[in-house]
Amino acid sequence: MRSKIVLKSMAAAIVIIGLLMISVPASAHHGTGISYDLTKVVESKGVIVSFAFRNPHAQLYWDAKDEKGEIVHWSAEMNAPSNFERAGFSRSKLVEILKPGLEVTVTGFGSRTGAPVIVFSKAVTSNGGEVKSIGGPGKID
Amino acid sequence: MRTRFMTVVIVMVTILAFSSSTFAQRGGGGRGGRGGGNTTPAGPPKDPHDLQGIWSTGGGPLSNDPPPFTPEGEKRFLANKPSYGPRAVPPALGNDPLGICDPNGYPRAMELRPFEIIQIPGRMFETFEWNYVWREIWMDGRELPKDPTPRWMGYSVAHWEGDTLVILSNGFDDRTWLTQEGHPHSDQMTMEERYRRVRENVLEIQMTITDPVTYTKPWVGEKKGLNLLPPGPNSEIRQELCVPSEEAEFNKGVRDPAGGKGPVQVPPTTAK
Repeated sequence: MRSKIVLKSMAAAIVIIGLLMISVPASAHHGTGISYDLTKVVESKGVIVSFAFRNPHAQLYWDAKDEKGEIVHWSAEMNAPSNFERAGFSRSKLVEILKPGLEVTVTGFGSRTGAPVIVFSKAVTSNGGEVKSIGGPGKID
Repeated sequence: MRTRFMTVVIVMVTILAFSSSTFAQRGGGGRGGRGGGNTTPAGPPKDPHDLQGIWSTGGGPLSNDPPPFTPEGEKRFLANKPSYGPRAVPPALGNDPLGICDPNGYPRAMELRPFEIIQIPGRMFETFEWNYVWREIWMDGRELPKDPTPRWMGYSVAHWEGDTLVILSNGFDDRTWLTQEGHPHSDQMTMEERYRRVRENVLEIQMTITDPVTYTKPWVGEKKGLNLLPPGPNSEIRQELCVPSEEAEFNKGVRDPAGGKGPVQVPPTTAK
């Protein structure tokens, strides 16, 4: 019994050490932080128009209605493709989740200017798909 | 007994985790770029003259405490509008050369992502993931050129002093920045780097920049420890090229509108 506990504890220790050491390189290499108010969480609901798995950062575009019912084009600055890859997200996996036409709720930190642009934290689609930031200024949990 | 054992385990985990991250922070400078964990043995190097492997970069080799500028250096610094540091402006309003995919050059190539050292007889190469650029370092006894034509990555030669590799460089194109905070340099800049594999999995580096046109005395960087990345998919050098057409789309779709410069412009196609 005691040896089982020891083994479980050792396994937990190894997992914890691993998680602490295998950190994702997360810095935003184009001065992202300064463009956004990192205290202002913004949530926007709309329909995905486009997803680009491209350098320097992946981008999500969606259309949402404002309070007057007019369409507003939104965009989100996501992680760099190489960082997504290191975190286990292939391009095809993300393209599959973030298909144009799906309804989506996107969360992130808003532009300091009030423009409809956010640094990406999370997207949840109407069919249950979800993508979270894997590091950098947009990561919230 | 069980509680005591768990306490020991927790203490061990904490010590191990902190010892790792502390060293990584020395190399990381808080800007990320480790690119993976480090599970390779931490003992003395098997061969201190073998520097090959994929290493973290972590924030670049220079510290953020440069010497005072010369008047010319001050002028050049104020002309640069970075998106980091006390003078940061949104990239949309800045002039970081990387915002239009101009070359990052060296030492800025070492700011992010891992790089690989490859040694062959008479030469050494450094290949950098960020912007997918490489640097050639001659080790065949030649001297630095007396009148170099400026290059983005400079011209470099190296020799061993005991177990320390001393790299000397000149001939740098003055259009690159030394740091993301916009520190400038002239084409008269020379550089001395000292590399030492202090452990099997740690490469200690130190850089000194001498540029009398820009700085009133040499800029001596602190010693930084770079971690060897363990074998596996996350220690491959990825091809993170800066592609001007992609950068332009990103600027129109995200960077410019985020900085208050124009509306969001959706790229014409979705990447597949």
